[in-house]
Amino acid sequence: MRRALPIRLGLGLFLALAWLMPHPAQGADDPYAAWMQGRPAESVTDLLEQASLHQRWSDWYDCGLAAAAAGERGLASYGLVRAHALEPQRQEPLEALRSQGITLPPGWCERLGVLAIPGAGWLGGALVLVAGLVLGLRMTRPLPRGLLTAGVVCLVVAAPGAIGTWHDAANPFLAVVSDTALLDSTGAVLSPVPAGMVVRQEDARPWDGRVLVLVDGRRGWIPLVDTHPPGLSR
Amino acid sequence: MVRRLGLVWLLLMLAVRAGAVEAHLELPESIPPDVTVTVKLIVSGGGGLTDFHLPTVPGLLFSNQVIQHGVTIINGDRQDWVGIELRATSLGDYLIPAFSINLEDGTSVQSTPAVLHVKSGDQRLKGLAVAEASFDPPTIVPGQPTKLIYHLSILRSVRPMDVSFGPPGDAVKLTTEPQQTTGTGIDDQGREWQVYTLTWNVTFTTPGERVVDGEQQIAVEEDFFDQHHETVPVRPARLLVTTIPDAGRPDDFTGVIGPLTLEAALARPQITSDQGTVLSLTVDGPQAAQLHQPRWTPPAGLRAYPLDPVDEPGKRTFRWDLTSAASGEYTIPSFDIPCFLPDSRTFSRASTSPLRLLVLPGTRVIPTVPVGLPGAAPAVAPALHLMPLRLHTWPAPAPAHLPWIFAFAALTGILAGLAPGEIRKLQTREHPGRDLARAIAARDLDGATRALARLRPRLGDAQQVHAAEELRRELDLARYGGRDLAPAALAWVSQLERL
Repeated sequence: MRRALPIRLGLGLFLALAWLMPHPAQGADDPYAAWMQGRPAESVTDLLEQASLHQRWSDWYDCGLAAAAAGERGLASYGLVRAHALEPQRQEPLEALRSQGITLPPGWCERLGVLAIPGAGWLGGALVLVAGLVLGLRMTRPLPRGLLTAGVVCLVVAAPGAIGTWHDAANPFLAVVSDTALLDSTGAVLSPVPAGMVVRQEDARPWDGRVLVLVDGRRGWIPLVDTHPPGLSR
Repeated sequence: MVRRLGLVWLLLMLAVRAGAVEAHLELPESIPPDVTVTVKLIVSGGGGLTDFHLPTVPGLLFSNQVIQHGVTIINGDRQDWVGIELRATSLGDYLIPAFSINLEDGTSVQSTPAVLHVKSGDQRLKGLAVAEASFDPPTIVPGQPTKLIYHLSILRSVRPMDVSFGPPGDAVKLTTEPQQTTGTGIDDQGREWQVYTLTWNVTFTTPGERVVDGEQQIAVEEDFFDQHHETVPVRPARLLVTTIPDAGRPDDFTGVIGPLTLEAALARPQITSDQGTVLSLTVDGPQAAQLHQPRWTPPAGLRAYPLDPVDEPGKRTFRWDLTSAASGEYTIPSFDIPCFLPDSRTFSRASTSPLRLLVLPGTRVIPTVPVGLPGAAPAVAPALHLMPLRLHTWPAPAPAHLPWIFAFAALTGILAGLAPGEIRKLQTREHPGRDLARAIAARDLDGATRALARLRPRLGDAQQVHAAEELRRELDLARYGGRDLAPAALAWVSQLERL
């Protein structure tokens, strides 16, 4: 009877997790349907809404691809850049951007490759949790060497991805959604910036409705409204 | 000023009250001819009525005597009423015009005109209750819907109880529950009956004759204390299910029963090649809900993707998403469904007219060709890159929040690791009773004496105090008398161990 308890607890935990796992909406209109029928332009709005609602990298990625297929360059870059920003350790958004002719400067996560995967996202949190658990146990009693090693390994495995993700998040990129221009601080046009271009954000604080960016080695301002799809909250 | 306003308000209220007086005749739904019935003349919102002058209506005979009268007051609203006997000499509708009623306060009021329907009483309503069933229509072909209708008519003194009646076992029920309605009827003696009706929508798949009968239980109330049950047989319903003839049957006939009407429409008759439109086909007929999506071949250059049909009562609408890869003018062929008309026992075809769809050139980008920035040579991307992931995962934490999440995870882990030790400490906190037992077991007399001293403040009743005193004496004897601890000491310890 005592042995059955952990099994029951484990089964209950598994069922609870299975219930909590996100499921595709049953019976709802499929936002991909029009795209699968060769009309990606009609899917973009629904996919954009889905992505902004759930904030999952995969939804932003799909939204970017649909926009690319529909010929909406600005929205394509926007979706793919958002996907990259949410999970910089994923290679798919970077590859999709490359297929658009946009190559982002490699970040720490990209340089680390697969080493970045364990430490990023919830998995990294779980590894740090295990390491903390081992540390806490060690503070109250002596532990077997194997357990100590496991805790240290968890910490070491999680560290690259955690640091890489944190570092990459500090250097954000912005996608230009509609054709705009690089402005100086007086508002004079320095150069045109076409929709779809990805620029590095130099300062997170907007000024007078503009944001400081670096375009082709030139610093300047672009209107903030041109970096967000119309109607989408920032 | 306030007094004046109050007076005006009072006068207004009196005027409203005076204006609210009205009178009307309360008539039954219908009465049979040559039967005397009692109707009520009701005056609402006024004082009592003194007299009234009933009009002369050819064919109607009013008694001049008031056979009943009374007053009803509900929520302060007064109603005075009198019962008058009335008889109609022939069938028809009689208009009773307004007539004058004098009230106790000296005023008079005009009654509201009313119409009395005089109909023959239902000859079938005899006894206490009548139960009967019927099919509508009584003759069908397999698959044609029909209604099985059950009527139960009962007098006011009768209460319906259990009924053993329903569609036969081989009936296909088109609705899960029967539709229930209530109404009233009148017999040839002018008595009012309560009529309950149950209606099942059914059909049958095989030819043959069906007879449906059953029994209805009723409770008859003779008076307040006397009630008995009776069983009323249900007059059976008969249905004839005939076969569909072979002569003239179309080759593509699938058993659809008519009449049937079809209507096809395009959501947008003109689109561009990067857009789509919806083709809908609405079928209206008795078997619309049982129809399957028709198969059709779109013209070359058009693609059709079927959508879920939309059902309305008696209607079903089939839909297709239409897309086009190239611009041009397309003709959507007509739809054509054969059906059988039971009334004329002939076959017919329901059809639509062809539709025209104009597709203009669009701006669609073929998905396998990547979109490059101006001036940048677009690289050829593998098709895999442009396939959607359609993942449904948990949202990842925002990278900016990761340090906080990791700090929280580490702290949670440390606390969780510390928890077992802390809990153990809590479990092993100072417990003088157990310390005493351990010291005695270990023959540690000094330790036992110290534990007993710590135990003293916790001693509750006289029995525990006595046990502690005896144990202390035994301990002293053992410590200073040089003798062994007496076995009785263990009994004292067991009394104190839980403290």
